[in-house]
Amino acid sequence: MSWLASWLFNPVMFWVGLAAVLSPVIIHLLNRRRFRIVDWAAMDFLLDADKKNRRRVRMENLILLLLRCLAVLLLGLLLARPFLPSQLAGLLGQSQDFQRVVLLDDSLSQQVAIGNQTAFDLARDRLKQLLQSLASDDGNDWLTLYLTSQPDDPVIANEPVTGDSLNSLIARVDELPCSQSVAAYDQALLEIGGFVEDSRSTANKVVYVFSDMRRRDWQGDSGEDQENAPHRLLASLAETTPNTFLVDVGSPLEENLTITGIAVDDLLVADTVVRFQVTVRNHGDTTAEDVQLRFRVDDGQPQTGVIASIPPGETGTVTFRHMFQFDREAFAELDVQDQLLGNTLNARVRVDVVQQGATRDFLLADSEHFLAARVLKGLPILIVDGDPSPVEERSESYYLQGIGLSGTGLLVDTATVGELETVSLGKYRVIFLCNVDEASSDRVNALRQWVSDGGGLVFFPGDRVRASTFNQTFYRDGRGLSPLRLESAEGDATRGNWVFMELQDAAHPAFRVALDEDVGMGQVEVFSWWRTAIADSEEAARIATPLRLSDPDGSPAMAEKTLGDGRVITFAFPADADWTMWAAHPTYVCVMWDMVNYLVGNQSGASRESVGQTLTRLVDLTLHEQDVSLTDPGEEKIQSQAYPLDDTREGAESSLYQVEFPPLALRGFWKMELQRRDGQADPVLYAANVNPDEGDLRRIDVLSLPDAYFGENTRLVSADDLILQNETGTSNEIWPQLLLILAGILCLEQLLGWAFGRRR
Amino acid sequence: MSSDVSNDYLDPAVLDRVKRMDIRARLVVEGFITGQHRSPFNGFAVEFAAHREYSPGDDLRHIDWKVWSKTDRLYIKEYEEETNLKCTILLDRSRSMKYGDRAGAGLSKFDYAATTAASLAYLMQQQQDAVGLVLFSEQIDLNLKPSSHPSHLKLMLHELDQVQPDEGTDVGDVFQALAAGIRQRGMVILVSDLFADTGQLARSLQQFRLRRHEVIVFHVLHHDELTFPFQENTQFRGLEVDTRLLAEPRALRESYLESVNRYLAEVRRICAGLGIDHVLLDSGKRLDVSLASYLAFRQKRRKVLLRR
Repeated sequence: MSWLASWLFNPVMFWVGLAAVLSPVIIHLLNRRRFRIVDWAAMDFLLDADKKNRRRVRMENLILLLLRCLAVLLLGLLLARPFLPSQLAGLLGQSQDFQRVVLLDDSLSQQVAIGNQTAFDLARDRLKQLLQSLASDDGNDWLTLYLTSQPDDPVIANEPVTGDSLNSLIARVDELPCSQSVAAYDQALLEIGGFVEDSRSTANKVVYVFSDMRRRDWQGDSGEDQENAPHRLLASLAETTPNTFLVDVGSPLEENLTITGIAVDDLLVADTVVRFQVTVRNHGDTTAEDVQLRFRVDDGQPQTGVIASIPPGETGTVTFRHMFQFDREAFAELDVQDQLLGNTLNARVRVDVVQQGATRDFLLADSEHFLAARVLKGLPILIVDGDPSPVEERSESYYLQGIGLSGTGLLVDTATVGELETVSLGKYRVIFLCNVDEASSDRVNALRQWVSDGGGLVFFPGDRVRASTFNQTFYRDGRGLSPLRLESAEGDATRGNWVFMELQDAAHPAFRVALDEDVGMGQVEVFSWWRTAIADSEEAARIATPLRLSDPDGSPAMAEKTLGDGRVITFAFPADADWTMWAAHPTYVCVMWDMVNYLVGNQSGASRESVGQTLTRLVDLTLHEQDVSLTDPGEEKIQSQAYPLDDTREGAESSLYQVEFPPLALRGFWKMELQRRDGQADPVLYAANVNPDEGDLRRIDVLSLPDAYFGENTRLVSADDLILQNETGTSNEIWPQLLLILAGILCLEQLLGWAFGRRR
Repeated sequence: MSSDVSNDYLDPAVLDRVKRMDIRARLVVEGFITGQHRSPFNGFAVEFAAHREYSPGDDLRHIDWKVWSKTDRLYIKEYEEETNLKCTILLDRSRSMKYGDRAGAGLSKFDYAATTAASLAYLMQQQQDAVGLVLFSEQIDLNLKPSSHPSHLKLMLHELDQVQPDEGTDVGDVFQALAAGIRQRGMVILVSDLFADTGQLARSLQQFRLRRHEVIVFHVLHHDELTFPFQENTQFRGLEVDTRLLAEPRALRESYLESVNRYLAEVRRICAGLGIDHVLLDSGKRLDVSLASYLAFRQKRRKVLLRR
């Protein structure tokens, strides 16, 4: 059989053809057995005629029979797809050199466990078998090995495969780790296409794509058939390189549970209860019952949650609650600068699926999810009191200070108008300006920058505010901070003229409690308010008024606008109980809490990087050294240096550098350490997770694909078949020639049959 | 049916077939008679008398006194025993005549030959001539002496109906014996396929000619034998010789027909040499047509001869 395999793709068909050669003979013999019997009188004449013709008829029949046998043999040969063996091709002037390019799928999905091994181990074994057979055959082979995880950089670049180099090559293949990233087939195939294009040697090129045939890799996410879809690239590669094999080295196991994410529902602030919503997707075909999840923060006691059942293809969620704690007293003693730098607490949140007997989960790598929670050690809030009083309850900010309760995570500082000029704004997340109408121009600009960077500013103008000064300082004809221009104070003390607040935007996150009918804000009485105006309509479009008053004009009670990453809110009354009954109303504190959360909300304090992502960070050289180190999950340290940004952001100091690290190769927690000038280190924690899409282990269904999905020339082979085929390596298929010969023989047979028949 | 009444002669089925044969013969004969104004046999049966010198012991009643009175010599005026023509029909019933007796294949050669014989016999009977029938294969199977009695025809038809082709054929021995058996000069009509060695055939026919019989050969051949229409693979089994041949008929036709024609030419040459009329009867053609055309041809030739 082996000698047949050296020049036939399909030796079985050859045998079939060889056996079928007998068919014309059998038909002939059967035909001879089928005859009429005639009792004949004129036998002598017949015998005479027969004697004269016998030789000629036999010759003619023999010729026709031979032609028919030949036709059948050729048909069998045609189906067996013969090609000129490489030695023969070499004799005919074709090269015996083979440049073999292998693309090995080392994506996460190859870590599917098959017994004690992973699918990647098996794929590696296949590659080694290929190398061994290449080393032992006659041709000269060169190997180039690409991995899908690093498509731009071949692991083995054009090295000869001989008996001598075989062992070292195999050793290098053995050392290949399976990456945790997504297979980048498109990039890899483009790269290989370029490589094959560039090496214009006479060598035959053979491309092997060892793939685990996952559907998401080859069939796209949304069914879009883009120009650069991997299967298109493979088809075009196969057009230029006819020897393109798509080798199936995947595992048939598809059952898998994947943690697709951890959503943080609340602000990550210490001393508050934070809810973590963990989503698990079931990629299998069967419903997963009683999926147990383990939630763990740092080295603390794990919590367990159970999802009763996840139908196939669906997701299930479970919510964990956790309160981050730290030594508040020690923190409060730090000075402002230290508080600013050490404001976050790095917490390692880790969730994994508990592997039980009943759980069918063949890919473990995506059953664990990491979240680096940068927990604020409290939300620093500044309340600037424009009307302070020695008597505590008579000061403007008396009610507002009440929100800084333990358990809310809020750290409330108060300041006077004078102190506003000097405080470090960067420390605070939210600033309340109560009854303040003046600030230096520099301070206003600093506030503006601070808001743009994500701060939240709230104006509570009261009776101390002079409308013109306020407008000049903070409104600036619409270009200022405040969304509202104050005009005049309205309302009188007559109870009948009091108005109520009316909620315009029921979905506003700051007014969640207000929706409750019993304690609704509609019952809050307002006896005085600022009549306000929004200058031009262009500006008005960007200003929302979620809260209005029930006066005839429907004056805004609250207006907000977005400025950069931050927001500014202006109320039409002060924060104390002078103009409204709100400060004493039960909704007041709740709304304020929600409003603080709303204002801070944009700044999420969790890191969710993906494996394969590059990590960059701005480094302020005024605080930190240029050298930055990164510790990977395996405690290996990577050093890198920050370099100046090309285009520095407007207003940023030139001391702002950027540091960049190579792509994150492993899932887990990565700790970046910024070295402070004073020798201490500021750790920044990152969490890298595998792409949850890799957990989708469904394989492509080759039968359901359209014809020539991978192109006309790409040959899909199983790993076993590859070993059979690779000895042949190249193909100089000769079936078109055979087809012509077959057609010629059939024509000749018909022609001769006609001629013989006519002569008779 | 009572058993004493039923006998071989009165078998209803046989009678039915005789009747059918009778009609068949009559149809054919009447078919050509109605087309002719003169009987084709008219005249050729007349036997002329001869004179010979008286020798002692001759019957005095036969002395021709008129001649004596003129010449003063005694001559005996000789009359033929019977004035009518004596015709013997020799019908070949050898195995080779069996060809074509399959169902649906029309008349077999023997049927055709028998019909020919019956028709001729009927014809002779109609003109009061004596007709005899000889059936032969390897030996003489039946010899009905010529007679012009009307019942004789019935008998002949009955015999014809009874007989089936059988055995081999060997013209030589049989004709020798026949030639010896038919003493009086007359007409001998041979109805056969003449599948025998041509040399032997020539010698046998010569036997009759030497006895001055007028001989007509009705050479009956089956249509298949003349055209060889077979297409599929066929195994030919010899009827007279034990030979089998599996052949592709299409491949052999040309050569076979050539061979047949050569044989026919040879037979014709022999007959012409002996002064024998050779009539080729193709079983595929209608007998009345074939017979009529031959008889018309004979009449025309007689006229030519008379005119000379």
